[in-house]
Amino acid sequence: MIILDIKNLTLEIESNGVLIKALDKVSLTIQENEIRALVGESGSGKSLIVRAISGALPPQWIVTADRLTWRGQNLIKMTRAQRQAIMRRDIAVIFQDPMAALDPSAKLKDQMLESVPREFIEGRYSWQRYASRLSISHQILHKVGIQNVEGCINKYPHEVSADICQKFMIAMALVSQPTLLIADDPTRGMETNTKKQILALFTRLNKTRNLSILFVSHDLLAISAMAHSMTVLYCGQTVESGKMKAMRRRPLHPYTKALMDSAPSFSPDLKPKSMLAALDGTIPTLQHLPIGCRLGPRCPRAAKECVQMPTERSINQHTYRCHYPMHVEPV
Amino acid sequence: MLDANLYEEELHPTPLMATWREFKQRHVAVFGLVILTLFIIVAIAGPVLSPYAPTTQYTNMLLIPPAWDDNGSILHVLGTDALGRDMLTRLFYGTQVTLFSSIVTVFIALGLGVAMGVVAGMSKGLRSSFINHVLDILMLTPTLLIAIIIVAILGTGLTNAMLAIGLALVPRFVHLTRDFVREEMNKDYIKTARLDGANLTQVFLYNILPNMVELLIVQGTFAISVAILDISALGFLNLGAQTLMPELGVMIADGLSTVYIAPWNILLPGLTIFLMVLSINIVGDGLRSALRNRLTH
Amino acid sequence: MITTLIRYFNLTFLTLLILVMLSFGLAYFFPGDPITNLMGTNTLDSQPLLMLTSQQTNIFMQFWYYVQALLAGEWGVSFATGKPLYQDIMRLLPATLELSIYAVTIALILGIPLGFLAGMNYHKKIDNIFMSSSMIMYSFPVFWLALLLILLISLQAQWLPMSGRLSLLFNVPHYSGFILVDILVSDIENKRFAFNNALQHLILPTLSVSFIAFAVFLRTTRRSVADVLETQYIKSAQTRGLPGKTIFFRHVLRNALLPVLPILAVQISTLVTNVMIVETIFSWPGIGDWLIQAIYERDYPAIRTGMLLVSVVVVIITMSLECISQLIDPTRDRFAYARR
Repeated sequence: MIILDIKNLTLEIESNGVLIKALDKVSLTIQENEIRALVGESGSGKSLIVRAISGALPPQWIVTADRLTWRGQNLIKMTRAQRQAIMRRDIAVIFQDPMAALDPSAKLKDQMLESVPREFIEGRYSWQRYASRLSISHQILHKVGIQNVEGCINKYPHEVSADICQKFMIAMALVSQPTLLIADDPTRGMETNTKKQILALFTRLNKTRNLSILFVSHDLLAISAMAHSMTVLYCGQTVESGKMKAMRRRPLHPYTKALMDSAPSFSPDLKPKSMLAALDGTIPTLQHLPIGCRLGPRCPRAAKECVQMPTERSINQHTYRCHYPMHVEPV
Repeated sequence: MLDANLYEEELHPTPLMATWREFKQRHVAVFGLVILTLFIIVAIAGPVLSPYAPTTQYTNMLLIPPAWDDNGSILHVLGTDALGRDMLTRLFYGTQVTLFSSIVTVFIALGLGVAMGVVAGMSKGLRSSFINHVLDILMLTPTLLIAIIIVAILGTGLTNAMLAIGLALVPRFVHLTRDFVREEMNKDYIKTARLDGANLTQVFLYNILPNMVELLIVQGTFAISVAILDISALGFLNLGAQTLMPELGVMIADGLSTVYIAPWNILLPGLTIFLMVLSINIVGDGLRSALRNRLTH
Repeated sequence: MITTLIRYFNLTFLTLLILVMLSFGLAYFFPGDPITNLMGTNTLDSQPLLMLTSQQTNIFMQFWYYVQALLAGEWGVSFATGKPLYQDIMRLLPATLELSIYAVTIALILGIPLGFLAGMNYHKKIDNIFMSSSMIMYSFPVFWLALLLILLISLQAQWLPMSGRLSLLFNVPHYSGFILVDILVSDIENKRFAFNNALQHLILPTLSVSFIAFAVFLRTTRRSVADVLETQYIKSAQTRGLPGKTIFFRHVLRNALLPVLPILAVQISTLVTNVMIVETIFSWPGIGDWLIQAIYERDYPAIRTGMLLVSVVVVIITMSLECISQLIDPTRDRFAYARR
């Protein structure tokens, strides 16, 4: 069952008198129990999508969409209070830099305790409620994988390491038992060991607690092992979207292929001094967006058709937007 | 419509242009700049613009109110004081004295403070912390006390007042530069320069100083407004400029004795000081906002 | 925590030592005979330790005995009045302290909450009103402001008196030096009238000083609140759906106030300067007025001792504020390890 449905989401902002489309007809769906990866280079608008879903966009942005629904409820038309209620219980967001996302002047214990939703607390008197909150927090922190809960919980954020902070953020997100967890590049800059731990935690949570995860990142190696399905974003446009296995085996869009190729393989039969595979050029700035398909100037398969925006087509739930996709006869 | 311009010419403003563009957008700041320019023109061209001399006494026209009052006369547009001296002329000369003395004081304090701050920031160890400590004591002492001590040792006078205020301002600049230099020394572009072989002086002149200039300009502007307030306060208390000199604080003190019948003698000089300080504060605030915002647009 | 306390104690002690050395050295720097500058007259039988100081030939021994004399309360006599300085200063100091404390309290009580209000409505209309008015307020020269208030309120409208601390009709016995406390504690008749009269005398001087301090406090708080609201942790708390009141009281309040404390501590010296100037204008019988009269009369012992006392009070208050802010701020030592 589809829980988050985004279709043709467009985000515009006015800059120096011109209306710029930062996100152009982005589509994304998340099913129950699914780990979906949202992949794109920096500047492609991944964080904007996260903010649009959680409602944290500044008022200057103009949001239009055919569908932006959570479990069938339209997110755009909702009042602020309803949106906040959903954010509090059903959707949880984890951000990039865990230490910056925690209040530096409050102990970790206080921050954890205040995140526990009131519905789960038992007890009539304040000391009973406090004890109940504490026990719920301890449970969650253990589940998340923090070994020394007693030692860490009384410290300040700058006194513990980054991975404990991130696990803490995950615990704070999980304590309200959400249905969807949006992780905005949570493992950025982490060492491989810690990255593996966090990713393993995500997989475990997805299997045991029926938690859907929207994992936003540009680390393909990490994602391809873990995600069930993937959406590739380039410069504010979704270029391809589908099941992970299918995309890995047969990427339809040139950009997806370039992304897959760019992850170094480190296989033993790699020839010495072979070129690193990469697309020419750089991602365009917002002021100089190409018309039509935005990959146009960089794409090795571009032709005259590409100045028009390609429509979205799909083969077996594998959607793509390209006039000249790979492995398929052009229409 | 075919546009002959195939390549979009993009405007890449220099930092100075970007700051000015940002500054222009706040109308209040531009208004303040206009008033400040007026004051500076008056200060520079005062002797030429003023109708009379500041010390000539017109003994037949004592305590005449400003021209818009019934008893006023157009000969003396802003009235005269108890000794018959023309108010407008005195205001012009007073602006000159107050503004220039403050600017000179701030410049000297800036120079000294930056020099000491840079030395303290680039060196480590006991020497810098000792200097810091002595200067911190100076910063904690109220400016009036420092002025009293200097007047007691050296006597009254405008130069001694400038010395006192300069002494009070130096620690502030030292702190500022020291913190800034210390923070910058840890950054990578300094390390690159030093790996390239630059010695400390070159690192300071070519790398740190250009980044520090804006900070110094903003802080210097605020320091000028503080200096104006303090110098005129010392003039008012007769610890700075003395009675003969046309300084705005002194004029207020002189007018105190006749305040019942001639209130304009204290209102007008005070208003001048107030407007000068206000315009400097507005410009300084606008500059600070412009510098902070120019990167985000 | 103990290390911070020890460090601040050392710092304060060193600063006080330097101030005392300065006050001693000024006896030599001021024009005239150093011994007379130290004591006030040539011989002084009522203050034996000070006499001992003046009889030393070695400068270090002189300093040593000077410190002892200071601690014993033998501060010499004034050139102008010939009376012992200790009594004079102790009589006048509470008046200045009273004025300063009331002015600071009003500026804090009004400035900080309004600063929060302005910061939470950053760049909206309320914020702009506060910004413009506070800028106008702190551009006023304090002496002109005081004179304006006297002109308008005392002379034109005749609502409030323009000088002094209490009408001469009332005679309040000295208890603590703080006039409101003294009136409440004493049992003269017409206590209510005396209290009202003292309040009326207090209003204009306090207003002149707190006017400027209020503007500075408001701006500083607003800047701090605006900076805190931009941080990632507040944004992530909002995304998590925490109710606004919780975010404000538990996170914004603490994080905005903590950096403001040291800045307020530095404002104390400006405040003291303003109080001293206002005292001369309103003939408020405090240390400021006394010191300025002393400089007019070139009363060197008075200047030395007065300056020492005021600096000591300012230094102690500022250092304690900084020490407290260091102790209660858990983020201060964030970079302490990195600095090694």
